Amino acid sequence: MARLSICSLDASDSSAHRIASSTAQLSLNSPSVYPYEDVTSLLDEATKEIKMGEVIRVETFSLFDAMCAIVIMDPKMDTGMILDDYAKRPQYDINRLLTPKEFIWIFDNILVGQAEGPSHPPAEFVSKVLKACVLSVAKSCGLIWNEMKKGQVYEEEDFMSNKFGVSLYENFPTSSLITLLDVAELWLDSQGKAWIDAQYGDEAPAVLNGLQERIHYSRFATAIPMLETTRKSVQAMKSTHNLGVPVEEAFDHVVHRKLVTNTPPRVIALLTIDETFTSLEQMCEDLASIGTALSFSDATNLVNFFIQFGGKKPSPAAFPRSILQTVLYEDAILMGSRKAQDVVWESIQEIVSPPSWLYQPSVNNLKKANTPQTNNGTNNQTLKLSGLASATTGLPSSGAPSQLDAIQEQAEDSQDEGNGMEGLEGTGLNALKQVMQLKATEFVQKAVKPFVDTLQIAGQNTSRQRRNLRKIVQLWEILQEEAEALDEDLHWLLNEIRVEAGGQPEALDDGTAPTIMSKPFYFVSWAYHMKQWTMEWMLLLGFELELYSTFELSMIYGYVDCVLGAHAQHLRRIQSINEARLAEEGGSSNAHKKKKKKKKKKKKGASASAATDADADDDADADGDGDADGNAGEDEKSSHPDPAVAESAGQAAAAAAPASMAVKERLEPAITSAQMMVSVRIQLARATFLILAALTKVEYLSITPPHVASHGLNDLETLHRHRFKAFHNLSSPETMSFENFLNRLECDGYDAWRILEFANDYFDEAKISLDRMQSMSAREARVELCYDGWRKDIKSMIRVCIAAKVAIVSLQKDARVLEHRDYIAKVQKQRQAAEAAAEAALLYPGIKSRIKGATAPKPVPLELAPLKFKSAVRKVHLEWKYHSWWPVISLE
Amino acid sequence: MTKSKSKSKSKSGSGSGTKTGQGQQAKDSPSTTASASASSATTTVAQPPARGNTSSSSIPPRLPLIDYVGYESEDQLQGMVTLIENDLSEPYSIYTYRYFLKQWPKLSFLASSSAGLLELQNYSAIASNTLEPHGFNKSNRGYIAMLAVSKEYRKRRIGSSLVLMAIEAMKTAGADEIVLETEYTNTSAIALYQQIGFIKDKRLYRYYLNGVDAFRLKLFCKPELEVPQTN
Ligand SMILES: CC(C)(COP(=O)(O)OP(=O)(O)OC[C@H]1O[C@@H](n2cnc3c(N)ncnc32)[C@H](O)[C@@H]1OP(=O)(O)O)[C@@H](O)C(=O)NCCC(=O)NCCS
Repeated sequence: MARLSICSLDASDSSAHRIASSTAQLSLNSPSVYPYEDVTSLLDEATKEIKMGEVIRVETFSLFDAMCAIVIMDPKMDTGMILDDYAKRPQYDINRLLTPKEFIWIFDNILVGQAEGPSHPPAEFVSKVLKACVLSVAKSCGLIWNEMKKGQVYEEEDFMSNKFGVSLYENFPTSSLITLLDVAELWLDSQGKAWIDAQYGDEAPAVLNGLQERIHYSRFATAIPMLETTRKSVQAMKSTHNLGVPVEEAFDHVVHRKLVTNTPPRVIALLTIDETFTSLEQMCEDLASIGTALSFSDATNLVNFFIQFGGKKPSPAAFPRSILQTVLYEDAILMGSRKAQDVVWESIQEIVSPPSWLYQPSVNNLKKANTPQTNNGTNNQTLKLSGLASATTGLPSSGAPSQLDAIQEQAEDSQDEGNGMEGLEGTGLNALKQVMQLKATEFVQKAVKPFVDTLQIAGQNTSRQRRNLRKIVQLWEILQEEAEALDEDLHWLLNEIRVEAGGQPEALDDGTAPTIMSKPFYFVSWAYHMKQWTMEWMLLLGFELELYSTFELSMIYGYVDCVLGAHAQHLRRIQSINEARLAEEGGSSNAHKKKKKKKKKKKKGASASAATDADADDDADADGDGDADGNAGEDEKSSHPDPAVAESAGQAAAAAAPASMAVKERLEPAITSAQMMVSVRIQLARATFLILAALTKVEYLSITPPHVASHGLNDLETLHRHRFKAFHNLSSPETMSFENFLNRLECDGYDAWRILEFANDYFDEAKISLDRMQSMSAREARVELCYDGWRKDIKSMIRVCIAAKVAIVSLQKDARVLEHRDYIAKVQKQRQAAEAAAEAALLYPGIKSRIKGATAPKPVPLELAPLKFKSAVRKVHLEWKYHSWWPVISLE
Repeated sequence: MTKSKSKSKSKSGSGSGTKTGQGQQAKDSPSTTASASASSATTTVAQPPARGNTSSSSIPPRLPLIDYVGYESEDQLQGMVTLIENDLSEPYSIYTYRYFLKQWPKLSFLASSSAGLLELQNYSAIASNTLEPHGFNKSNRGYIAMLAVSKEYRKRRIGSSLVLMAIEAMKTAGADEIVLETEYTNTSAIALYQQIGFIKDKRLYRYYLNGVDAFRLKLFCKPELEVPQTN
């Protein structure tokens, strides 16, 4: 109310009169309970001493207050002002009779403005049918409003909570409404039907049907769960809409004139009737999909559903988005069906498979946990674990629930009282395990917040998604740090258990060839995986929101490639752990692992490798959480000189024949679906990067801004700092430095034509992976809750691949590209000649050194003058039409 | 263009009591560094008395000289208001103008054609700006609130000149960065600002009253001062 405390002399002295007269008018026209008093003369008096433009204001007067003020009699702001065209509009006679066709028109137009406000229900035929329908639409607005008020979505962006004093029949009982609708339907079936038959002859059934469907639809207000039925009604309404006959006066497009407001209300652009039906159908679908997700089968499917929902195009409306967030989490329950904590544990298990004894599905039933029977079960399991070498690998959860407190007590008591297991194992290993179990459970509890917050992002508008993901990334970073301590403890304990079981102690400190199982880093791995996923999501959303300028694109795609590369590497490591564990469990060991490696190598060969060779080392180090020791680390490194391997990981994983069916069933799906998606994205990001790099080589693109700022810093290096600021403090992954980007852009000195060739190869590979993904069942791909959306996404990416390959064909014919190819060929010839000479002296001619030479400070022999392109510059055309993250790049 | 009603950054559920955003920003009074410079800017160009209709891209034969002046008094206000009301979609009350002009008069610039300086209605460009500490590290953040050039005078670098003057004034006052918002569909304004070195920092969903998204543009100020070249 601060605005009321301002007095100032307006520039125009006539305005006081205007205000006075309009005040008078107002009080004349609308008899009100408020006793209006004309304060014009008082104001005049009081402001006499104020100089023109002088502002007297309270300390706290803010821009917000300034902006909230409404200028009376300013047509842009004063919504109560009666404008000429409004005064001239035809008046609606509230008592007129309506034909059914007019009803259809009116009803459909109510839908257009469903979220907006009331209209005036006229009488008669109307008193039963239209009244009921209008009431229920208003009521449904009220119900929706209640949902939106919960604060899941953003006020003013996603919706406006201000009802401007309009009643949405909040207090009108839903049951009475149902009765009204019943009456309406009954009437329509009897008298109404006879009347319509007489009136419309042949058209009668259609008209009748049209009316009935609209009544059905109106039940939407009262029966939100009946989404499928509602959606059908929408379809039926769509088909009968053209029966409608306009009654323009029925709607007041400047109804806001009569609304209570203290700010200028938003202009609401009305949808067309087709858009209305489409968006209603869409909304029903979205809501229905949330309904299905309530009974999700496992964590991976749930996560995938949220990813899909968040990326849906067109974006779901604010209402379903709000619903999604509401049902997501309440009272520690996820999706109204399962303990959040258990789902988080499931997610960890599905990704990294830690020993299942680590976590007690804490749940629900204290009584159950305390029954001696279940306790026995627990003890038995523990006994087994402490006695067998296979303990470390965990056993299928026995499903023995016990309250966390109970565990704690047990752990504490076990020393003093010496229950059954203490007696059997004197070492206290059990107690240690229980402590470990506590810690793990505690960690899982902690992980609920980042987990839920991440999923919640999917229910926000895309701008907010990106902004909030910045924070989410930090949450995972913190969790990852906490996980490290936990994992260290666990490694120690696992080693103890190993020793206990008579196995070899693992060399933990001096790094003398421990197996990967000695340091599996389960919890870190999981948190790191989640963090990488959120990082990628955030970066890719930038494309969708059109934040990046053209000169930044190569840097961003390069960066995305780098993050994805680290992710793929990480997932490979996880997979190795899973495999190693299975091998340990099953004895039949790593035959298939070796096969896989071989396959990868053969597949890619030399072709694309060199393009990004320079980064190989960086990539290998990118897994920065310090767990790169052990076999897995070595494996990765050894495979890395061929960086192309990195992205084909998922593919290889998919292709690798698992040793046994058990492997496939128990391990592959959860991690594989993630791996495949990551690997496809790497291929797309790298292909896109390479095209941009090629076009930079031929100087169609530049990495300097078109206008270098004189007052500011808008160079790419500044942008590098700014765009990736959210990632600077992260312990891992090691991301692409600006230097590194510049190196990358060089593409080892390859010519533009060859680089495009490499890009083409990557699109080929992406397409192969995508085709394979497309043939996967919902079960295999773990997208049971969003199969259609997922496939749609895959299809759009396939389209990108196809279109991009077509575009590459013509890019490769471009005059400058060819010029560049010839030039580099010449350079190479010269260099070869020079090297041939040197070879005689030096006996180490390896290809590698040569390539390294290409990236060294003085790569190009001095003999050749730098290339000056003869052909004219062409304009680069980037089109994100198939997928909002992956463009098709061509020349105009 | 500044947003008419400051957005509540908090979600609706957490109560309307916490209004943040620009509104809040305004609460912290300019810090010591900033207040030295706290000044407002309005730049205006008056229209020529004769309204020979020339195509927007070509320069009229006898182009009146453009004067660039700082904001001085409320006498200049009405012309500015008229211009802004025509060119910006958000409705502003007189207090919004005064909010900027009173607090930061030296950051506001106007351009006018020499012939029209006395005709108050004919101001044709304005840039009203703020400069306040922002963020964790309390970097000084300048804000460009409004910019408009009347149609007949567009595409003659008047808009850019005004913005550059404002930037210079803000930099002198110690600004580390300068931000503004504009409708994401306003290609000419985005092009203008990008040319000056602004980058698209964020997208703001349905930011304006008309439901259109905004881009938040940002300029990282160069540490060294450079004197602007205005003719
Ligand atoms: C935006 C506006 C202020 C530009 O003023 P101006 O004096 O015409 O701008 P300039 O002559 O300084 O133009 C500078 C650059 O901006 C860009 N630009 C300006 N108008 C443009 C247009 N119509 N289309 C594309 N680019 C345009 C160009 O890059 C131009 O550089 P160039 O001349 O080298 O091509 C003016 O169009 C305007 O008042 N628009 C309505 C109000 C508005 O949108 N304000 C901004 C809200 S924050």
